[in-house]
Amino acid sequence: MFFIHSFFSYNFSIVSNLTLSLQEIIAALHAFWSAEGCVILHPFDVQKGAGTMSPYTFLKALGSQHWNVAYVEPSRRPTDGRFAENPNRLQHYFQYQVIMKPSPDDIQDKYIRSLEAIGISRKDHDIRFVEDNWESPTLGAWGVGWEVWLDGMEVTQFTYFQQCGGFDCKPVSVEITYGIERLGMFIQNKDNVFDLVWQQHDNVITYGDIYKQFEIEQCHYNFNQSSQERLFQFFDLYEAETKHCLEKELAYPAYEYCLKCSHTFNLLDARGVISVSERTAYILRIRKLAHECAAVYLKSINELEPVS
Amino acid sequence: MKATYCLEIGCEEIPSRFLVELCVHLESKFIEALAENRLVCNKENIKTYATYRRLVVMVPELEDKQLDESVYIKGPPVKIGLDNEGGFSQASLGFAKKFSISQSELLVREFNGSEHVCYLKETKGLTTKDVLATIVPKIIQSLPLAIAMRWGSRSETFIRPIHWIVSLYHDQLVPFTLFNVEAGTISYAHRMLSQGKDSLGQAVSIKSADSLTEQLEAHSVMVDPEERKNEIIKALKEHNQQNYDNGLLQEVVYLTEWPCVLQGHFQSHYLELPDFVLIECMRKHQRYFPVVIKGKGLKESFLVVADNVTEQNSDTIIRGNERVLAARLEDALFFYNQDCLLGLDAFPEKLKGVVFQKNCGTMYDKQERLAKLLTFLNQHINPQGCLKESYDFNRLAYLSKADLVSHMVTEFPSLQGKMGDHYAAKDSATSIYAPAIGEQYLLVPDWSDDKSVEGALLALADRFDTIVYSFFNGAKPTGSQDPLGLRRSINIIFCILNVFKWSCDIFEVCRYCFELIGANAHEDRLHAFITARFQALLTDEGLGPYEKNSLGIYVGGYSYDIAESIVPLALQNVSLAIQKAVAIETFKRSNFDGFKLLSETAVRVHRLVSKHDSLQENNTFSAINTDLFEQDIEKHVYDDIAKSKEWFLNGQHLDCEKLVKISKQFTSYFDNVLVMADDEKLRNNRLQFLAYCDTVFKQLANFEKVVITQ
Repeated sequence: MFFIHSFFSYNFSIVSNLTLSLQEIIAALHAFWSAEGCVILHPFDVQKGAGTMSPYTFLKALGSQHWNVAYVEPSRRPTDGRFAENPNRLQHYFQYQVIMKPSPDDIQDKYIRSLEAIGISRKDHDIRFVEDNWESPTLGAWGVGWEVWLDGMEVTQFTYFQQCGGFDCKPVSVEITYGIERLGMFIQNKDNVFDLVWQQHDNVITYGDIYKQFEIEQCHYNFNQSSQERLFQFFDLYEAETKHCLEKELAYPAYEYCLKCSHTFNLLDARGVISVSERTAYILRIRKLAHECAAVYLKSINELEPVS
Repeated sequence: MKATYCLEIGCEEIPSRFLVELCVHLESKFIEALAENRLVCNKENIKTYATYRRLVVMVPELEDKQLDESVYIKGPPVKIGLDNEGGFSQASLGFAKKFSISQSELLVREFNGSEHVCYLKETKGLTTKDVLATIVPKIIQSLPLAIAMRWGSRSETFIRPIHWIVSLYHDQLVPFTLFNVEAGTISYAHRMLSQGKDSLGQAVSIKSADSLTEQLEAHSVMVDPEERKNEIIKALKEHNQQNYDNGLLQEVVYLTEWPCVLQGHFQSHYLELPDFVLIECMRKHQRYFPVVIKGKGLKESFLVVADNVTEQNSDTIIRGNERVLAARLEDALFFYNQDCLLGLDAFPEKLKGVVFQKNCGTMYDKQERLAKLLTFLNQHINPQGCLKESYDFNRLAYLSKADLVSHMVTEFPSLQGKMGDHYAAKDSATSIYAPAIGEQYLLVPDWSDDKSVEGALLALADRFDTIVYSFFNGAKPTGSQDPLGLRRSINIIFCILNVFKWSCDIFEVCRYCFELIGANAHEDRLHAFITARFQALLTDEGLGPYEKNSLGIYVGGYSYDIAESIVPLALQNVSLAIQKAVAIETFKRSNFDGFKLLSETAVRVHRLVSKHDSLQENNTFSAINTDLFEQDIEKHVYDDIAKSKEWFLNGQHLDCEKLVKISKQFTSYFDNVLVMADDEKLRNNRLQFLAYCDTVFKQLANFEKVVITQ
């Protein structure tokens, strides 16, 4: 009885509201955060695990100058791949990332209004901020904040950065990371990420149309076909190049190679060739690089405080 | 005049796990600061409340003025402060000048036994409002914070950013500024349910301190967590759920301001999952209560405690939650089926890739040590462990940690053991090992002798190995620093040995564990740790869980001396030691004089014989020649001891009267018998007898450690 009732009422609501396509959701968020004073940027062209790892967050969260930005970031988690067979898991997905520094006093209100900009009204849903503190061992970064629940679904990570690259964040940046696929599935009422409507003009283009084959091939590569010898070599080479750039005090190029180290490590991890004891050592190597990139960056903007 | 002071700190969402403790601190800091600042109130009735967005303190019947104060301010000692004629010296005049008082106000008074020049400083009490305005911000800043954060451009820290502060004494604002927020009279209603201009919620102008909770209640905020709890419990009961998870309840109470329980459903094929998996899926990520039908188990339904429910949105909220749970259950079912397909035997090899502790090898290595340790323990515990011939400890050890790498436990770590138990039980070849795999992780209050012997052995082996390896690896559990849970582990060992009434040489087991890891270092530290833990077990009133152990033995709160005197016995036989500690403590408390006599007697006997080393080795009862007794009293004491020696040994139902009687006999024995007689034969026989008595007393406790003060 219950299911029949809810089925009908939900279909009705879809008909009565024009459902946003994925690209419309992104466009609406861009418009919203642009009006809030954010620079709208484009993805940074190096593979990375999360929007936080973009230099537009990691480096820009350091230092004293104000910085407001929003961008979409493709994010890679090789171990999360499921050959496109799982409706909720991907090795490549999109984050919508907002950074505001210093964190505005009304940031929660801004966030809730941003949901309304994509059709999620506070009056229609149970929106909750539930504790979730964030820490990235490879970046030497941590913050406190929440995961945001939308009728029980986690759709956003909300973090006040306290440290980045091992340096205190002064002033504090607030980071809002929306899971675009999650939000899309919620808004479009889809149970499978590959059924998401990316574009709906004359005919519908789905997420699967664009990314299904991509997912499957990447999974084959990540889990079965990557060359572990070469990946190990890549790691060492990228690490050496990072250090070389650090010596020359070139923070951005150094950080790009540091990101490559991180991604290569993730690929090795997915291949299952990093033993448990080696794992920690690799993470420490990356963290050290990230810390030094942060230090060189701070030095380049004349804000590196002497070590006490 | 008396009136209520009320403080409300409005924050961004505070983590629920901190709120109870924050309230406790807030209350004690207030009581402390009020007393220090001579503000009088009805401190019994100070109340604190919390929701995820606010911390509230109510101080009722607070006097409107600070008490006046008179204090003697100490000046120089008379030796310096008075001149030869008894007048005030230059030093005293300097003192008067420093405090801007006239010479006529100077006095001489005694301070802790020495005379000083001084003056009586009288301070008029300020208005309560003024005092509060100074102390309240300090109180807020002094709250200990589990996780402190900075925000914006400020450097101060608090638990979460602060948005408003209401500070009212009766209907008067008590002004102060903290974190750039000015205290005022405006509070904010429910974030979503009220019609505010932004998501802070509707502004509510608070009329007086006493009306805060009522006014907020009218705007969909239940300030009092008890009220929210009752509301949720009422709703759970309406859904026929009487046995709910209290920890979960506590959490959702602090995740809501206006709780509303909604019922959702999931497809019945997910009921294929074991109940404990379904419950974990609902509880862990989603904070849902499962719906149990009496006698039938779980229903394909759940209860979610939402915070923003209106008639218009409840269906949407239910549907949203149903979808999330369906996705989680789908995942769980997938993992579960994968695990089942592989079978438990497929997993142990993967343990080679799981670190046990940093620098301590893998779980596979640990599992190999457990196999040997299980066999060793089974042989070394008395009266007996596992007698089943078909039971293969190697097999048990091999399977014991297998579930750690199963898909389900990777996804839900808290299901360790339960998953292994479940998977092992599915296959008749491994089902015999299932209970032990599940029981190995039981905590102190859950152990009782209806658990399996093999589970108890596995739990012991696991904990011994962890403790010894951690010490080998340099662990130093101190104070609040015990990241590896070693104290909990040793308590579980004591608990199991007690519950199963197993005697076992604890240090011997430790030695064997060191042998298994190929080292023998750090034994002293380990021994000191174990000894201290047993004493703490007996003396620590705070050891709550142990009090509730299923045997109903109250352990805790025993005198330190008795705990210490019983330790050597405990290292061999925990349950006997506990029984005796309980008996002796009871004796000491109920008949102190008798206990004192017993203790003195035991010590006297011990000191007499301890000078004669040769006797100690041959102190059997049969070595005593009763024919060499000269006096009746010798025979009486001998008979008493002969009759009760078994009883001393097991120490159950200690008969105080009997002990007092024996002690009195000994008093008369020492009054009448010259132990150190000239005749060597007589002397040796008497010493032999006392040496035996000494052994018997020591069965009860090491009385040399017992302190005779009431």
